[in-house]
Amino acid sequence: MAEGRGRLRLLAFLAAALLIYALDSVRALMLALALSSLLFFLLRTPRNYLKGLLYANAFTLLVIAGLLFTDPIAHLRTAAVIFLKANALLLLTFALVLPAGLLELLRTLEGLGLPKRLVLLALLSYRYLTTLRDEYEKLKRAAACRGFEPSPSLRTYRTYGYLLGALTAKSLLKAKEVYKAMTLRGLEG
Amino acid sequence: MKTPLLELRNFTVLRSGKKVVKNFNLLLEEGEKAVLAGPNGVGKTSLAEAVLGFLPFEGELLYRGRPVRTKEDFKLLRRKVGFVFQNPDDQLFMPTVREELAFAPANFGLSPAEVNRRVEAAAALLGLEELLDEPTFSLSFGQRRLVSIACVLTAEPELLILDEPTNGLDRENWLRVARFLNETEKTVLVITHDRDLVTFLGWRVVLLSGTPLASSWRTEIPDPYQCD
Repeated sequence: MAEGRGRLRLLAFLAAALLIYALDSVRALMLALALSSLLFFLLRTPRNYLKGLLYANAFTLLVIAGLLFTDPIAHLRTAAVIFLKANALLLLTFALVLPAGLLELLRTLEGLGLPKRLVLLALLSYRYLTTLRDEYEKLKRAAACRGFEPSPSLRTYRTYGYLLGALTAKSLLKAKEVYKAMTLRGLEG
Repeated sequence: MKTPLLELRNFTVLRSGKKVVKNFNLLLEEGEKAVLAGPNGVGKTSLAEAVLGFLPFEGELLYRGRPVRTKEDFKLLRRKVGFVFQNPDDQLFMPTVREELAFAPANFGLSPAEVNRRVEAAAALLGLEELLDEPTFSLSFGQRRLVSIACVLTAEPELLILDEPTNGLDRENWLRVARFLNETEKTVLVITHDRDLVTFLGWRVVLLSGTPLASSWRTEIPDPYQCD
Protein backbone atom coordinates (compact mmCIF):
# COMPACT_ATOMS: atom_id res chain seq x y z
CA MET A 1 0.00 0.00 0.00
CA ALA A 2 2.72 2.43 1.12
CA GLU A 3 4.84 1.32 -1.81
CA GLY A 4 2.00 2.03 -4.22
CA ARG A 5 1.53 5.49 -2.73
CA GLY A 6 5.26 6.14 -3.03
CA ARG A 7 5.19 5.16 -6.69
CA LEU A 8 2.18 7.34 -7.35
CA ARG A 9 3.87 10.32 -5.70
CA LEU A 10 7.06 9.83 -7.66
CA LEU A 11 5.26 9.42 -10.97
CA ALA A 12 3.14 12.50 -10.24
CA PHE A 13 6.29 14.41 -9.42
CA LEU A 14 8.05 13.34 -12.63
CA ALA A 15 5.06 14.28 -14.78
CA ALA A 16 4.55 17.66 -13.08
CA ALA A 17 8.27 18.45 -13.10
CA LEU A 18 8.50 17.74 -16.82
CA LEU A 19 5.49 19.94 -17.44
CA ILE A 20 6.91 22.84 -15.40
CA TYR A 21 10.25 22.40 -17.12
CA ALA A 22 8.56 22.74 -20.51
CA LEU A 23 6.51 25.83 -19.57
CA ASP A 24 7.71 29.17 -20.85
CA SER A 25 4.83 31.55 -20.20
CA VAL A 26 5.11 33.70 -17.06
CA ARG A 27 1.40 33.42 -16.38
CA ALA A 28 1.43 29.62 -16.63
CA LEU A 29 4.49 29.45 -14.38
CA MET A 30 2.76 31.66 -11.81
CA LEU A 31 -0.12 29.20 -11.81
CA ALA A 32 2.37 26.31 -11.47
CA LEU A 33 4.00 28.02 -8.48
CA ALA A 34 0.61 28.59 -6.87
CA LEU A 35 -0.34 24.93 -7.37
CA SER A 36 3.02 23.70 -6.02
CA SER A 37 2.60 25.91 -2.95
CA LEU A 38 -0.93 24.59 -2.44
CA LEU A 39 0.33 21.02 -2.69
CA PHE A 40 3.13 21.81 -0.23
CA PHE A 41 0.64 22.99 2.39
CA LEU A 42 -2.09 20.43 1.63
CA LEU A 43 0.33 17.51 2.04
CA ARG A 44 1.49 18.96 5.38
CA THR A 45 5.09 19.03 4.33
CA PRO A 46 7.47 19.82 7.23
CA ARG A 47 7.83 23.61 7.37
CA ASN A 48 11.57 23.41 8.05
CA TYR A 49 12.02 22.45 4.37
CA LEU A 50 11.28 26.10 3.58
CA LYS A 51 14.74 26.90 4.91
CA GLY A 52 16.07 24.98 1.89
CA LEU A 53 13.97 27.22 -0.32
CA LEU A 54 15.72 30.24 1.18
CA TYR A 55 19.18 28.82 0.49
CA ALA A 56 18.25 27.85 -3.05
CA ASN A 57 16.78 31.29 -3.69
CA ALA A 58 19.98 32.94 -2.54
CA PHE A 59 21.65 31.21 -5.49
CA THR A 60 18.75 31.89 -7.89
CA LEU A 61 18.73 35.58 -6.98
CA LEU A 62 22.46 35.73 -7.60
CA VAL A 63 21.92 34.39 -11.14
CA ILE A 64 19.02 36.78 -11.69
CA ALA A 65 21.06 39.73 -10.41
CA GLY A 66 23.80 38.83 -12.87
CA LEU A 67 21.26 38.75 -15.72
CA LEU A 68 19.63 42.04 -14.77
CA PHE A 69 22.98 43.66 -14.31
CA THR A 70 23.90 43.09 -17.97
CA ASP A 71 20.62 44.26 -19.56
CA PRO A 72 17.65 44.70 -17.19
CA ILE A 73 14.95 45.32 -19.77
CA ALA A 74 15.85 42.49 -22.14
CA HIS A 75 16.32 39.95 -19.33
CA LEU A 76 13.41 40.84 -17.07
CA ARG A 77 11.15 38.14 -18.54
CA THR A 78 13.91 35.49 -18.43
CA ALA A 79 14.63 36.41 -14.80
CA ALA A 80 10.94 35.97 -13.92
CA VAL A 81 10.83 32.60 -15.70
CA ILE A 82 13.95 31.37 -13.85
CA PHE A 83 12.60 32.49 -10.48
CA LEU A 84 9.13 31.01 -10.94
CA LYS A 85 10.34 27.76 -12.47
CA ALA A 86 12.97 27.17 -9.77
CA ASN A 87 10.55 27.81 -6.92
CA ALA A 88 7.72 25.77 -8.43
CA LEU A 89 10.07 22.80 -8.95
CA LEU A 90 11.57 23.09 -5.48
CA LEU A 91 8.19 23.25 -3.74
CA LEU A 92 7.06 20.27 -5.77
CA THR A 93 10.19 18.34 -4.75
CA PHE A 94 9.68 19.26 -1.10
CA ALA A 95 6.05 18.18 -1.22
CA LEU A 96 6.32 14.94 -3.18
CA VAL A 97 9.87 13.58 -2.98
CA LEU A 98 11.74 14.66 0.17
CA PRO A 99 9.30 13.46 2.87
CA ALA A 100 9.73 9.87 1.63
CA GLY A 101 13.42 9.77 2.58
CA LEU A 102 16.22 8.43 0.46
CA LEU A 103 15.74 4.75 1.28
CA GLU A 104 12.06 4.73 0.32
CA LEU A 105 12.78 6.82 -2.74
CA LEU A 106 15.41 4.37 -3.95
CA ARG A 107 13.15 1.42 -3.28
CA THR A 108 10.41 3.13 -5.30
CA LEU A 109 12.83 3.85 -8.12
CA GLU A 110 13.93 0.22 -8.09
CA GLY A 111 10.27 -0.77 -8.29
CA LEU A 112 9.94 1.49 -11.32
CA GLY A 113 12.75 -0.32 -13.09
CA LEU A 114 15.94 1.50 -12.04
CA PRO A 115 18.82 -1.04 -12.26
CA LYS A 116 19.69 -2.68 -8.94
CA ARG A 117 23.33 -1.79 -9.35
CA LEU A 118 22.53 1.94 -9.58
CA VAL A 119 20.35 1.70 -6.48
CA LEU A 120 23.21 -0.02 -4.62
CA LEU A 121 25.64 2.66 -5.77
CA ALA A 122 23.31 5.42 -4.60
CA LEU A 123 22.87 3.70 -1.23
CA LEU A 124 26.62 3.26 -0.77
CA SER A 125 27.26 6.88 -1.78
CA TYR A 126 24.69 8.05 0.74
CA ARG A 127 26.12 5.84 3.47
CA TYR A 128 29.67 7.07 2.84
CA LEU A 129 28.70 10.71 2.53
CA THR A 130 27.31 10.40 6.04
CA THR A 131 30.50 8.67 7.17
CA LEU A 132 32.63 11.40 5.58
CA ARG A 133 30.59 14.08 7.29
CA ASP A 134 31.04 12.33 10.66
CA GLU A 135 34.79 11.94 10.08
CA TYR A 136 35.10 15.60 9.19
CA GLU A 137 33.18 16.60 12.31
CA LYS A 138 35.56 14.52 14.44
CA LEU A 139 38.61 16.21 12.91
CA LYS A 140 37.04 19.62 13.40
CA ARG A 141 36.43 18.78 17.04
CA ALA A 142 40.02 17.62 17.39
CA ALA A 143 41.17 21.01 16.09
CA ALA A 144 38.75 22.87 18.37
CA CYS A 145 40.02 20.86 21.35
CA ARG A 146 43.48 22.25 20.66
CA GLY A 147 42.44 25.88 20.54
CA PHE A 148 41.72 26.26 16.81
CA GLU A 149 39.35 29.12 16.07
CA PRO A 150 38.66 29.85 12.40
CA SER A 151 39.51 33.39 11.34
CA PRO A 152 40.21 35.01 7.97
CA SER A 153 43.91 34.17 8.10
CA LEU A 154 46.40 32.11 6.15
CA ARG A 155 46.81 29.84 9.17
CA THR A 156 43.07 29.03 9.14
CA TYR A 157 43.07 28.25 5.40
CA ARG A 158 46.15 26.07 5.82
CA THR A 159 44.52 24.21 8.73
CA TYR A 160 41.38 23.57 6.67
CA GLY A 161 43.63 22.33 3.88
CA TYR A 162 45.26 19.85 6.27
CA LEU A 163 41.85 18.79 7.60
CA LEU A 164 40.61 18.07 4.08
CA GLY A 165 43.89 16.32 3.25
CA ALA A 166 43.55 14.08 6.30
CA LEU A 167 39.92 13.39 5.39
CA THR A 168 40.90 12.42 1.83
CA ALA A 169 43.68 10.13 3.05
CA LYS A 170 41.33 8.48 5.54
CA SER A 171 38.61 8.10 2.89
CA LEU A 172 41.00 6.44 0.45
CA LEU A 173 42.21 4.01 3.12
CA LYS A 174 38.64 3.25 4.16
CA ALA A 175 37.58 2.75 0.53
CA LYS A 176 40.42 0.27 0.03
CA GLU A 177 39.45 -1.63 3.18
CA VAL A 178 35.78 -1.76 2.18
CA TYR A 179 36.74 -2.94 -1.31
CA LYS A 180 38.85 -5.73 0.20
CA ALA A 181 35.99 -6.72 2.50
CA MET A 182 33.53 -6.77 -0.40
CA THR A 183 35.89 -8.79 -2.60
CA LEU A 184 36.34 -11.30 0.21
CA ARG A 185 32.57 -11.69 0.31
CA GLY A 186 32.39 -12.52 -3.35
CA LEU A 187 31.86 -9.14 -5.07
CA GLU A 188 33.05 -9.18 -8.66
CA GLY A 189 33.18 -6.19 -10.94
CA MET B 1 37.19 23.43 51.77
CA LYS B 2 39.10 23.41 48.48
CA THR B 3 37.11 23.97 45.28
CA PRO B 4 37.18 20.88 43.06
CA LEU B 5 38.70 21.22 39.61
CA LEU B 6 35.81 19.52 37.84
CA GLU B 7 32.35 18.84 39.15
CA LEU B 8 29.36 17.27 37.45
CA ARG B 9 26.00 17.48 39.19
CA ASN B 10 23.04 15.44 37.98
CA PHE B 11 24.72 15.40 34.62
CA THR B 12 22.52 14.00 31.86
CA VAL B 13 23.98 13.73 28.36
CA LEU B 14 21.81 13.87 25.26
CA ARG B 15 22.82 12.34 21.96
CA SER B 16 20.34 12.72 19.08
CA GLY B 17 17.67 13.61 21.63
CA LYS B 18 18.22 10.45 23.70
CA LYS B 19 19.54 10.44 27.24
CA VAL B 20 22.73 8.36 27.01
CA VAL B 21 23.97 9.21 30.53
CA LYS B 22 21.51 9.97 33.31
CA ASN B 23 22.03 11.99 36.51
CA PHE B 24 25.73 11.33 36.79
CA ASN B 25 27.75 12.96 39.57
CA LEU B 26 31.52 13.39 39.61
CA LEU B 27 33.94 15.36 41.71
CA LEU B 28 37.58 15.64 40.69
CA GLU B 29 40.03 17.48 42.93
CA GLU B 30 43.08 19.25 41.52
CA GLY B 31 45.98 16.79 41.21
CA GLU B 32 43.66 13.80 41.58
CA LYS B 33 43.77 10.87 39.19
CA ALA B 34 40.70 8.79 38.52
CA VAL B 35 39.41 6.15 36.18
CA LEU B 36 35.97 6.34 34.63
CA ALA B 37 35.13 2.74 33.89
CA GLY B 38 32.24 0.83 32.51
CA PRO B 39 31.30 -1.59 29.75
CA ASN B 40 30.92 -0.62 26.10
CA GLY B 41 27.98 1.58 25.24
CA VAL B 42 27.23 3.06 28.68
CA GLY B 43 28.13 6.55 27.48
CA LYS B 44 31.70 7.08 28.71
CA THR B 45 32.80 8.82 25.51
CA SER B 46 29.54 10.77 25.29
CA LEU B 47 30.15 12.02 28.83
CA ALA B 48 33.59 13.34 27.87
CA GLU B 49 32.22 14.92 24.69
CA ALA B 50 29.54 16.71 26.71
CA VAL B 51 32.12 17.96 29.22
CA LEU B 52 34.00 19.51 26.28
CA GLY B 53 30.85 21.11 24.92
CA PHE B 54 30.35 18.87 21.90
CA LEU B 55 27.09 17.29 23.11
CA PRO B 56 24.13 18.90 24.86
CA PHE B 57 23.52 18.11 28.51
CA GLU B 58 21.22 18.78 31.43
CA GLY B 59 22.42 19.37 34.98
CA GLU B 60 25.49 21.28 36.06
CA LEU B 61 29.09 21.34 34.91
CA LEU B 62 31.44 23.32 37.11
CA TYR B 63 35.11 24.01 36.48
CA ARG B 64 36.96 25.45 39.49
CA GLY B 65 33.53 26.08 40.98
CA ARG B 66 32.31 28.16 38.04
CA PRO B 67 29.43 26.95 35.90
CA VAL B 68 30.28 26.22 32.28
CA ARG B 69 27.34 26.91 30.00
CA THR B 70 27.97 29.23 27.10
CA LYS B 71 29.97 28.74 23.91
CA GLU B 72 32.59 31.13 25.29
CA ASP B 73 32.80 29.18 28.56
CA PHE B 74 33.51 26.00 26.60
CA LYS B 75 36.14 27.73 24.47
CA LEU B 76 37.97 28.68 27.66
CA LEU B 77 37.44 25.25 29.16
CA ARG B 78 38.99 23.55 26.13
CA ARG B 79 42.16 25.55 26.73
CA LYS B 80 42.43 24.04 30.18
CA VAL B 81 41.23 20.52 29.50
CA GLY B 82 43.22 18.28 27.17
CA PHE B 83 41.26 15.51 25.50
CA VAL B 84 42.85 12.46 23.91
CA PHE B 85 40.45 10.83 21.47
CA GLN B 86 39.69 7.12 21.51
CA ASN B 87 41.04 6.72 17.99
CA PRO B 88 44.24 8.68 17.24
CA ASP B 89 43.21 8.87 13.59
CA ASP B 90 40.28 11.06 14.60
CA GLN B 91 42.66 13.44 16.26
CA LEU B 92 45.71 13.75 14.01
CA PHE B 93 45.62 15.72 10.76
CA MET B 94 48.83 17.73 10.43
CA PRO B 95 51.46 16.51 7.94
CA THR B 96 54.33 15.86 10.38
CA VAL B 97 54.62 14.95 14.04
CA ARG B 98 56.35 18.26 14.80
CA GLU B 99 53.51 20.28 13.24
CA GLU B 100 50.98 18.10 15.03
CA LEU B 101 52.62 18.81 18.39
CA ALA B 102 53.00 22.52 17.60
CA PHE B 103 49.36 22.95 16.57
CA ALA B 104 47.87 23.79 19.99
CA PRO B 105 50.57 26.15 21.30
CA ALA B 106 50.67 27.93 17.92
CA ASN B 107 46.89 28.41 18.15
CA PHE B 108 47.39 29.99 21.57
CA GLY B 109 49.64 32.57 19.91
CA LEU B 110 52.82 31.58 21.77
CA SER B 111 56.25 32.58 20.48
CA PRO B 112 58.04 30.15 18.12
CA ALA B 113 60.69 29.56 20.81
CA GLU B 114 58.04 28.60 23.39
CA VAL B 115 56.20 26.42 20.86
CA ASN B 116 59.46 24.65 20.09
CA ARG B 117 60.26 24.17 23.78
CA ARG B 118 56.88 22.56 24.38
CA VAL B 119 57.20 20.33 21.32
CA GLU B 120 60.63 19.08 22.40
CA ALA B 121 59.48 18.54 26.00
CA ALA B 122 56.36 16.57 25.05
CA ALA B 123 58.30 14.50 22.51
CA ALA B 124 60.97 13.69 25.11
CA LEU B 125 58.33 12.70 27.67
CA LEU B 126 56.86 10.06 25.36
CA GLY B 127 60.03 9.04 23.53
CA LEU B 128 59.06 10.60 20.20
CA GLU B 129 62.22 12.65 19.53
CA GLU B 130 63.27 10.49 16.59
CA LEU B 131 59.86 10.78 14.96
CA LEU B 132 59.41 14.54 15.05
CA ASP B 133 59.97 15.07 11.34
CA GLU B 134 58.16 11.93 10.20
CA PRO B 135 54.81 12.17 8.38
CA THR B 136 52.08 11.43 10.93
CA PHE B 137 50.26 8.97 8.70
CA SER B 138 53.37 6.84 8.15
CA LEU B 139 53.57 5.94 11.84
CA SER B 140 52.37 2.71 13.41
CA PHE B 141 49.15 2.74 15.42
CA GLY B 142 51.06 2.67 18.71
CA GLN B 143 53.22 5.61 17.65
CA ARG B 144 50.15 7.54 16.50
CA ARG B 145 48.61 6.92 19.94
CA LEU B 146 51.70 8.40 21.62
CA VAL B 147 51.60 11.39 19.25
CA SER B 148 47.92 11.91 20.06
CA ILE B 149 48.82 12.18 23.75
CA ALA B 150 51.88 14.38 23.13
CA CYS B 151 49.94 16.81 20.95
CA VAL B 152 47.55 17.43 23.83
CA LEU B 153 50.37 17.82 26.35
CA THR B 154 51.89 20.72 24.38
CA ALA B 155 48.78 22.74 25.26
CA GLU B 156 49.85 22.23 28.92
CA PRO B 157 46.31 21.47 30.11
CA GLU B 158 45.33 21.47 33.78
CA LEU B 159 43.17 18.41 33.35
CA LEU B 160 43.84 15.53 31.01
CA ILE B 161 40.97 13.33 29.84
CA LEU B 162 42.02 10.25 27.91
CA ASP B 163 39.45 8.10 26.14
CA GLU B 164 40.54 4.45 26.02
CA PRO B 165 44.23 5.37 25.76
CA THR B 166 45.44 1.77 25.68
CA ASN B 167 43.05 0.44 23.04
CA GLY B 168 44.82 -1.63 20.40
CA LEU B 169 48.34 -1.15 21.79
CA ASP B 170 51.05 -3.79 21.93
CA ARG B 171 52.65 -4.47 25.30
CA GLU B 172 55.55 -2.07 24.81
CA ASN B 173 53.36 0.90 23.93
CA TRP B 174 50.78 -0.13 26.53
CA LEU B 175 53.47 0.11 29.19
CA ARG B 176 54.69 3.47 27.87
CA VAL B 177 51.20 4.94 28.13
CA ALA B 178 50.49 3.34 31.51
CA ARG B 179 53.81 4.53 32.96
CA PHE B 180 53.22 8.04 31.61
CA LEU B 181 49.80 8.12 33.28
CA ASN B 182 51.28 6.97 36.57
CA GLU B 183 54.12 9.46 36.50
CA THR B 184 52.40 12.62 35.24
CA GLU B 185 51.63 15.21 37.89
CA LYS B 186 48.55 16.51 36.10
CA THR B 187 44.96 15.91 37.11
CA VAL B 188 43.89 12.94 35.01
CA LEU B 189 40.64 11.22 34.16
CA VAL B 190 41.11 8.03 32.18
CA ILE B 191 38.07 6.57 30.45
CA THR B 192 38.57 2.88 29.94
CA HIS B 193 37.24 -0.63 30.06
CA ASP B 194 40.80 -2.04 30.11
CA ARG B 195 40.90 -3.98 33.37
CA ASP B 196 44.68 -4.40 33.15
CA LEU B 197 45.05 -0.63 33.13
CA VAL B 198 42.65 -0.15 36.04
CA THR B 199 44.63 -2.70 38.03
CA PHE B 200 47.97 -1.23 37.01
CA LEU B 201 47.04 2.35 37.91
CA GLY B 202 45.28 1.55 41.17
CA TRP B 203 43.43 4.88 41.09
CA ARG B 204 39.95 5.72 42.29
CA VAL B 205 37.48 4.06 39.96
CA VAL B 206 34.21 5.75 39.08
CA LEU B 207 31.74 3.40 37.46
CA LEU B 208 29.32 4.71 34.90
CA SER B 209 27.16 1.61 34.60
CA GLY B 210 25.66 2.00 38.07
CA THR B 211 26.53 -1.60 38.96
CA PRO B 212 29.03 -2.29 41.75
CA LEU B 213 32.66 -2.79 40.73
CA ALA B 214 33.40 -6.46 40.14
CA SER B 215 36.15 -7.77 42.39
CA SER B 216 37.85 -9.26 39.33
CA TRP B 217 38.72 -5.73 38.18
CA ARG B 218 41.24 -5.52 40.95
CA THR B 219 42.41 -9.02 41.63
CA GLU B 220 42.47 -11.24 38.58
CA ILE B 221 44.73 -9.31 36.24
CA PRO B 222 48.48 -9.80 36.66
CA ASP B 223 50.74 -6.78 36.94
CA PRO B 224 51.93 -6.07 33.37
CA TYR B 225 55.38 -5.11 34.69
CA GLN B 226 55.83 -8.75 35.66
CA CYS B 227 55.06 -9.92 32.12
CA ASP B 228 58.28 -8.46 30.70
